[in-house]
Amino acid sequence: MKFIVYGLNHVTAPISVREKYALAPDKVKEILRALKPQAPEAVFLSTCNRVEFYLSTDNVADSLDSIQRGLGRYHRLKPGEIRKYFYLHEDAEAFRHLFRVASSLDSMVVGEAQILGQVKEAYQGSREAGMAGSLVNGVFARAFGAAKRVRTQTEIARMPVNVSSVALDLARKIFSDLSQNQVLLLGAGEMSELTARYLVDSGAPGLFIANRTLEKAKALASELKGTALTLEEGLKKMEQVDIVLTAVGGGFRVGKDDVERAMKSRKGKSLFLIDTAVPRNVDPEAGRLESVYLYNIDDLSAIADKNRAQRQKAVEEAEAILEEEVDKLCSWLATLELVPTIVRLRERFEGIGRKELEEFLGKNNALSDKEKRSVERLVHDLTGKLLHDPTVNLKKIGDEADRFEFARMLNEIFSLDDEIKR
Amino acid sequence: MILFNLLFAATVFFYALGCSYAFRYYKSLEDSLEATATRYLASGALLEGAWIAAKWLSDGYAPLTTIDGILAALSFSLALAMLLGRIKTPVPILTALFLPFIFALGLMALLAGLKPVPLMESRLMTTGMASHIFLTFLGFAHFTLGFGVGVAFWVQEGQLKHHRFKNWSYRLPALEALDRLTVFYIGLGFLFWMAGLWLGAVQAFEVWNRLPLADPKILGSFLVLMIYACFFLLRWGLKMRGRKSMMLVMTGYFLALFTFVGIRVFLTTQHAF
Repeated sequence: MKFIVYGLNHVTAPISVREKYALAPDKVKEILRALKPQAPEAVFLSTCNRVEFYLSTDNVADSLDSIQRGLGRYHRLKPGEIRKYFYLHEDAEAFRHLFRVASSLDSMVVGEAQILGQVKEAYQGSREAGMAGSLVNGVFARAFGAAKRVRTQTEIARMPVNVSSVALDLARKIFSDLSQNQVLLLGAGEMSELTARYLVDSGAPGLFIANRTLEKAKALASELKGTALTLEEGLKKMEQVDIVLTAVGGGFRVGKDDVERAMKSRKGKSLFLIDTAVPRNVDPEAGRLESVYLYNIDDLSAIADKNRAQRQKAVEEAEAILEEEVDKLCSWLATLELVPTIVRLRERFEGIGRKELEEFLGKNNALSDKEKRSVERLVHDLTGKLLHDPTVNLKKIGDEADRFEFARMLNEIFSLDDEIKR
Repeated sequence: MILFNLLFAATVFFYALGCSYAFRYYKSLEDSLEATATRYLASGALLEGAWIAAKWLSDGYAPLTTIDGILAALSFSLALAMLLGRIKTPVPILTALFLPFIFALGLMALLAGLKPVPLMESRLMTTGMASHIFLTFLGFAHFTLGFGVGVAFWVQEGQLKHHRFKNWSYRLPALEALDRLTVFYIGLGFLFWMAGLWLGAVQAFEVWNRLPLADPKILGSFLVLMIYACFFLLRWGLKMRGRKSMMLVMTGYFLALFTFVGIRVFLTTQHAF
């Protein structure tokens, strides 16, 4: 039985192609069931960046044909057109691919958190369609475990890499959960607006938007569900809010005195100033004040750049973890292949032991119950000890050909009548 | 005796288990590992408390007359303070940082218990004296954790102020959380310390008929109390926060540490330890 992945992603196909292959959830089960004759186990993963089939199959060519026919019928595409964008990975390569996908190493934005949930949903869909068997269950359980290891043991998802996320992350470093912290947006710029949205989405309870033109402030306030203010009112509001985003053009200046005045009535509470304007709005000297944390656009970009470099390093660590997990999975699957041989071998030995025991007990009727139990235990223990080392060593054989050869030899030597399939 | 030793060995074993999970947490940052470490810490503290109570009942006086008993009481106080703080604000990294200290103290107590060194006569160990010692230990344990949280605040604040972040800085909690926890620890420590000093004064009157204020240990203890009183006065009166506020916490702790350990080494005192 082979495990394969057949699909396309953001690297192999442009969005115009990917969107053609998106399937409605109700069609997923239908397609999975159509695959049943060729692939008894199947998972279909469809996100905005990828469309992938994970299959366990004895016949790869027939399974691919079936997928292409199914997709062609559904999307009205020619098989040749489909093949152009699709990739195929088998066994260890397929495991590695799935692990990379689940761990978000194969994502457009490396480290994003959504993909693991999407893979879990796809797996759940397969279970509901009755298309998840022992192989898919085992492989996907290990993929989720590997993804968890990557997220917890590397810094891959911890460091924000865009400027707005860095600002949000810094706010969380100062104020914890943001549910008590109001935000003031002075002026309007693309980055400051986006950051304000992030902050509000993260639980900031109030947003004030101040602009030179009150009408503009009102328009933005209605969009972001905030309160519109004039710039002068906004400056006064610094006494109450905890996070201030500034992006005012035309020489607008927040002086050290303004911040100092605001801090006096803030009763020692921290103030986070994010100055995204060029030229800067906030006097850099204000950043020296106690409990004031001032960041300009360059500061935020520098942190984002550093995080990007760190994330690259984390990717290398994550790849090493995944390699380890793929090896573990391959070893586990190797032992599964040997299970029938081991079971037959054990049955054979235990059968001989039982037969000899019955004969012995038949000839020795005078034995007491305690003595009979002792002999039974002796035979049982002897069988177990004789088989222990061969079983363990058999599982340790790494090479597939060797494993098959050893299993065949055992079959012949002990007449196990076991059908060993390559 | 063997039963007591076994009970204490079980305590140290639980602390060691907690430590192993704390280290694993530090490596992986999985909150479930820290939760397990805390459960082991709580189990260890429970056993240690049982050891102290059983020994007290068996001997007829609190087991604070020997070095092993003192170390056990100290590790118990730290464990208790840590658990109380965790209920208030869970800061997983603190468990990972302080659990090894608690384990080390427990282990030292276990080893010292093999050949107990007496520090004071058992007849002096009245309930009042034992309460005085336990309360000051609890106060000191809370000051220690308050100091630890204060250092974390100092580091985090410095990073945020100067925009220089170390890789491990992502493991530190937010400034506000650290600030709240510091106040909690110092506040509780202050109350325990004050109650301990008051009981100590009562003992002093009973034993010496006077309060030897010139004794460096007593003087130091009062100074610690004054520093932390200043911390609260400046905080609530002048709304002083941030690094300056943490400076006071650290100064108070260094003086408390000197009073606790240093005075016996460098000066003379009427206290047994």
